[in-house]
Amino acid sequence: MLSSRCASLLLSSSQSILRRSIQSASVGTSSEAQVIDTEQVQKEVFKSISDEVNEEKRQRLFAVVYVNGRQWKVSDGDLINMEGNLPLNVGDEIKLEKVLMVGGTNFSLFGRPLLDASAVTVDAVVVEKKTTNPELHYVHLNHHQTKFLNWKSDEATVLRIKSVTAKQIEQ
Amino acid sequence: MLRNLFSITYRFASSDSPRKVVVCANGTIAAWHPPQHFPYEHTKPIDLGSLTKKDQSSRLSAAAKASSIPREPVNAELKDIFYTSKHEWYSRTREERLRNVAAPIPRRK
Repeated sequence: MLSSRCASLLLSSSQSILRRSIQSASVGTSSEAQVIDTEQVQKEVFKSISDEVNEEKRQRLFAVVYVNGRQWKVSDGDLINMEGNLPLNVGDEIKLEKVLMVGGTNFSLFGRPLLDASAVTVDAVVVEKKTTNPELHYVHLNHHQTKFLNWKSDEATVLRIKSVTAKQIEQ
Repeated sequence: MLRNLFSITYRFASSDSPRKVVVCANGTIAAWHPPQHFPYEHTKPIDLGSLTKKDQSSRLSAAAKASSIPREPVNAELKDIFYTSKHEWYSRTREERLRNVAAPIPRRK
């Protein structure tokens, strides 16, 4: 009895000693770590992105926007179909402000969770408001003498993406 | 997603690679990734003759399978050709009959 108790105590003490040594080693290594070259790399990346964006040549960007409950990956000239009767009229020009990401050939910008509204601009115009084709919604409950038949037709709004620009990118 | 981005940030920020990922002061993650040039000495010519032979001898496409049958294919053969379940090819009599008397498409005012 005494020998077993002493053995268990020794085991627990040795485990605690091991844990302390492991913790001290990890603390030492983490405290000795240094961050190098971060500011220089940041400046280089932003200079490259600014030069790329402000270049005069024709470029095409894409953006991931959040509108009407879902995310869209859009570019210049895209058509997106949004469900529901939205309070928009045909011909309205709108600006999509919830931009999650903007990218091009050489760069990408990820927002956490959104990018700055002044830096990235996604312009769109409402081109159509329509009603979708009727779809059959049929419910039949067995042994309950219950049948429902409905032709469901939803409203839809079609947007045309005019331009995706990211001109005023600042660090 | 973000964890992977941070690990990529740590790996690319201090290397000599032209591709870099940094985190900005306002929290935005900026990535610079110019397309990498594939050196010519690492390339190998393509044998175009074997490609054309392969294309001609292909019998796996749906059109080839369908054209090999001399008559109109039955549901079992359609199932095998298009890799679907058999229920895809059953006729839906109730839906078809109801669609004949379907309501017209409503017109917006």
